[in-house]
Amino acid sequence: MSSSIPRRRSSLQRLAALLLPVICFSVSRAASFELPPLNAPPSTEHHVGKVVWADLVTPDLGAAERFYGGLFGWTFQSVHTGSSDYAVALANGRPVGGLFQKSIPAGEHRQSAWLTFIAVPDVDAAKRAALAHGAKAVTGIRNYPLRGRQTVLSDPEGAVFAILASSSGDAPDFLAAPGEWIWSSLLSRNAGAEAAFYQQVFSYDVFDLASDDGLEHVILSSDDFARASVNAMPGDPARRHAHWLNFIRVDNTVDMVAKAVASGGRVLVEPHVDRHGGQVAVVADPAGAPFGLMEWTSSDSKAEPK
Amino acid sequence: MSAVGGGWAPRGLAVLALILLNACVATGVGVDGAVGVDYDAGYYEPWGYDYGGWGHGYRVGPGRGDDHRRDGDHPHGDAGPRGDHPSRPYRPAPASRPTPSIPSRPRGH
Repeated sequence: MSSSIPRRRSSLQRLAALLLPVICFSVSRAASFELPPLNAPPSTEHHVGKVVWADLVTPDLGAAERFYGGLFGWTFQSVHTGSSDYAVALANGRPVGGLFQKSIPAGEHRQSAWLTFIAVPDVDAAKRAALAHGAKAVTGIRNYPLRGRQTVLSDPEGAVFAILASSSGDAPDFLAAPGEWIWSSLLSRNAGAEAAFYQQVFSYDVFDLASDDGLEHVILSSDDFARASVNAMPGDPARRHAHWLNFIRVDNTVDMVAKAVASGGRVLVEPHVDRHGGQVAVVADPAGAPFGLMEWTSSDSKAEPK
Repeated sequence: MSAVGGGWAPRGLAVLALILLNACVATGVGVDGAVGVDYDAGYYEPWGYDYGGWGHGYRVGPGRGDDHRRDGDHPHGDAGPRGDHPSRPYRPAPASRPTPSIPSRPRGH
């Protein structure tokens, strides 16, 4: 009997010795998922309120890569671990966004979409401020050491966006090159109330614009640059919901719309002249995710469009 | 002797609990601020809404720095003591400031 205790202890120790490496290996394997930094080499700049990233959620990563790669010449860097299939999109070798494959449960309809990431210095503080002013948490806060700390929120009208404290700083304020994100717009029911919310969270300067459509349009600004617009939604509000819409710079909107349609996309808003004098349009990718196209050339007319 | 043998089970359970807690932290299960091991920022929008149908004159883009501000009630900029304006839920930038545009400097310059 007295010799059975040491034997039992010894067998338990052996079992623990066997289990521990297995568990530790599983944990370390699970923790190895890593997203690349937004900026390489890192930037020393920080631009609160700047739209610094966008992630597409799609049920078919391969189809999305073919569509966006064919349209804008993006290349892709795969990040696959565990249950996540993710690809970083590169324009001219620079990361511009992510494509994330997520299945849609059978029998459910969901709208594929681009998620807009706004820069903050402190995700926890920004999340607290957002929740205090009517936002809701969509996900918890997550750390991706090379990318940064992020979380997803919905604003008081339900428009979903993310906040990100980038580990590699924020990119300097350059004019976007063709194939890169150039502009972001929020479409909402009450543009003034939404502008107030974003001003509370990101300390934006807010500029109200004259418009000839009878609807409210404002510009959100930080560092004396326009970062985004907030716009009262046109048409029947019952058929619309608040959402962010991001625009990619193109050389020729009409040509790119035709190319998008030929690649399986569809037109949501036909090309037309916008405030800056260049053409914009809104299209949907083959999975239905809406995004904008925007010309921006130095020769665009500064005259108000007719 | 039974005390020695009985001490192993609680200690084993405690170790197992610590390991599981560590695994939860590492995998992000139920812990705000954890290291993400899977991507959970993929958000599908609700189905069936209209994203098009912009009418004539509906413009959402930035200007070139020469846009007209909305005429009206804050000709001298901020109104109230905290800069609040009674007719707007947000604090408008002073009217003396022109509406900014997007960055114009090309990369590499």
